[in-house]
Amino acid sequence: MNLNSYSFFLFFFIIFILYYTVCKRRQQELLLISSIFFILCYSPFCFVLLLFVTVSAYGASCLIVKKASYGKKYAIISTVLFLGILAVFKYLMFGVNMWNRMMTALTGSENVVTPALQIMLPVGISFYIFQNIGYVWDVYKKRAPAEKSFAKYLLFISYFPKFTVGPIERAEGFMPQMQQETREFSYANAVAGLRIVMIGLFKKVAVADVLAPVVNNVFDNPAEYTGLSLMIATILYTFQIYCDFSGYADLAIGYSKMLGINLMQNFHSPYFSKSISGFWRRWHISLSSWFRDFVYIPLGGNRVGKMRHMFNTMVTFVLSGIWHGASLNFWVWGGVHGILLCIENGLNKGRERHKKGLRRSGFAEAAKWGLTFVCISVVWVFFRANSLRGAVYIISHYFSQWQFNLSYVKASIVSMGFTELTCVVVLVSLGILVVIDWLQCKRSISDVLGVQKPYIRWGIYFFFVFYILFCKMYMAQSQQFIYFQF
Amino acid sequence: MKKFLLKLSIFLAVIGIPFGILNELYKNTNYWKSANEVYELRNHPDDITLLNLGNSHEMYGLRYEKYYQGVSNNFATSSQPFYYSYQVLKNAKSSICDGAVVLVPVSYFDWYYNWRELFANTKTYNNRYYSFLKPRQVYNYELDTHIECGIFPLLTAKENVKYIFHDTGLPDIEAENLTALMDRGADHADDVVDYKYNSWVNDVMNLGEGKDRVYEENRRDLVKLIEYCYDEGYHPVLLCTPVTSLLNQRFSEEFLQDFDEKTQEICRLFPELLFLDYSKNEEFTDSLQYYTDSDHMNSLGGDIYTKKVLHDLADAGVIGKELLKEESVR
Repeated sequence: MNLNSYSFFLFFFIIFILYYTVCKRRQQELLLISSIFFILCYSPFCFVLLLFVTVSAYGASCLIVKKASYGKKYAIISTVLFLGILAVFKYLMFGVNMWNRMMTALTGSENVVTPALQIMLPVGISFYIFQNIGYVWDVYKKRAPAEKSFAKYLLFISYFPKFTVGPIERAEGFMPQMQQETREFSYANAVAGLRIVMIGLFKKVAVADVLAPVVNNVFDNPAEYTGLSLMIATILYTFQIYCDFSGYADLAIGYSKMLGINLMQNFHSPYFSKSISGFWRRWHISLSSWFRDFVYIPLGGNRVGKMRHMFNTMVTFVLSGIWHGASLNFWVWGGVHGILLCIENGLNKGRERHKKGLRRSGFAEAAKWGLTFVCISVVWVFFRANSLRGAVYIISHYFSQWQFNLSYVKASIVSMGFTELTCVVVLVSLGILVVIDWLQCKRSISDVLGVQKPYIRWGIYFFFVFYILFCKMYMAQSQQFIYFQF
Repeated sequence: MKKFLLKLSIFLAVIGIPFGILNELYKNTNYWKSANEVYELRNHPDDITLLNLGNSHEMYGLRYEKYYQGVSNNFATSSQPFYYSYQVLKNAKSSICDGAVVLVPVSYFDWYYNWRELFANTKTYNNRYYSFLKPRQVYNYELDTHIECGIFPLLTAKENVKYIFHDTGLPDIEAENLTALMDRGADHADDVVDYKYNSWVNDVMNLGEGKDRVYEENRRDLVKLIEYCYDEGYHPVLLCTPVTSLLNQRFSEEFLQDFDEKTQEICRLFPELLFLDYSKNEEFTDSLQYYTDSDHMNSLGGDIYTKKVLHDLADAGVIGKELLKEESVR
């Protein structure tokens, strides 16, 4: 049950009505039951595994509070257990395949091959494992109190809007909201939530799903396309992954807001960043801050020597790549981001010494933004390409077969699967997206809409809904959310 | 909350009413009806006394209007497995007379037809059943697919929306079906046969690991279908529609023997079941002018084949000779 599916709309509508009417005195119980139902819709096994991990984390946090002197041991044991579970589901198949390949290469015989395993990745596992680890360490470090009620803790982990693809909530932000047993209906929250849901649907249906077929055409057979097509596909994928993931986050945040529960912001106009470090402060904020707090800072962060700082950065980003999945592509993607950040840190220190007190010029700022955007877009190729070799092929062929005439440009665009209508829709959708993100740099889109005159506001609502319907009907092929695989 | 729900309802109504009207108009286009086999599967007459199930072989091959005086209907549609033949028959129960003759076709690919996997992955064929079967009758039922394919097909209409404003009518099946396989040359015929053979062997059937499981599932579905016919008081007849000799020759002796054995096993299970096997009837298999491709009959072939089937049914005493129309009487 995806957050943009009709079955979810129906499910949520029922929950929403019950939440503020019949179950007003039992709101948290309703949320817990509906979250369990939501997870069971995927598979009962998902729920059993979630329950095991949650019970373990809850038990560990109780032990940490009871026997403070052994706190670190409990935190380490539970972390190893959780990471072990994650490794089994995410990396065992990859490990067996690698082992088989290695043994076949070494012995030249396929008889030594270990039977390949088929393990289905339980939905949301990467996200709730990290939430549990974060909670145990937050309790140990006394950043968050240990929750006494298991039901409340289970709700924190399994809360349905964020269960599948995050945000990776932290106890200090979420649990205090659980202390409020009853929530009165708030018109402002409901409207604000709906506005965020509308933007989320726009991003998913009118941008990500419209771009997906074109991007897939090119990335699945890069050798059949010209350098220009490869470049365009790279840029389009940059927008596709952003809209796919942030669209989902918007849906989660919007639905939750309608229920009166605030989830943390996961994206903050990341493509307006003027540096790689700025990008990571605005992209998948919940995961970035998790790695910052539980990997980067414990390693020493930037309060260490130059070499150690570089090492810490690289470790953090390679681990982030590993978290994404058992594929060399993700590891390289993380590693390249680490290298870019190290270079940027080095350059920034040099520049600080030489240019202290100089005013920033508009051109320099634009150049920084452009360079950052290009770097990020190119590195996304590793994330999307079907293999490492495919990624290298795409990047190394950007400038191949170039011809400086209009027919070449047209042929390159048409070969990707663009029709005149798709071109117009893509340009309109990306234009609207840029405006939304630009507005959101300063304040939330809900606030921006809220201060408009009613006829403008309603006009915008109708435009968005009709445009989303048009894209759904005419253009888009429903695609699974990219981050479901993680 | 009332204010919120009221505003939301007005908003949704403003969007929903025109959308709902457009959706109904779209569902009424000939394009949508023919693409979803509405004419074959849903718009059937009442008091049917002769009907057939099956796939595209029978869909093109059986044309009762010219030769049968009673009420008949062709419930065959492309790639329809035994499972859906059974569901379609159950769904049409109220329109079928007691003692009606039900032709239950078996094609070469049927025993190893890997439809459960195909329908789960490609969905195209599965989706057409959402518009008229009950949820529990649809394989791998999903509420979202039901909404998109059965209730609001406009949501996934794409460029076919144009048919609301410019409904071109049904495709001219007759004209299409007059084309014969050999009209475009022997090389073309070879390519067509190769394509069909390879797609059956590689994509449609499971002849590798899991072959026995797939056979068991299909066998179980067919047995269930025949048992249902007997339970309801219908008269089931097993039928094997011919394909061209060109395609027959591509299959190994072993495969054809296996097909015959498995079909005969069903006949042994139901001793009263009549089996009309035209798979190797040279009158049809060698007459390439009867086919549009390697295995689908054109209107000429369909007419002659239907006549033959009806006469054989009459000879076997399954239907009364008085129900045959004048022009079909020998």
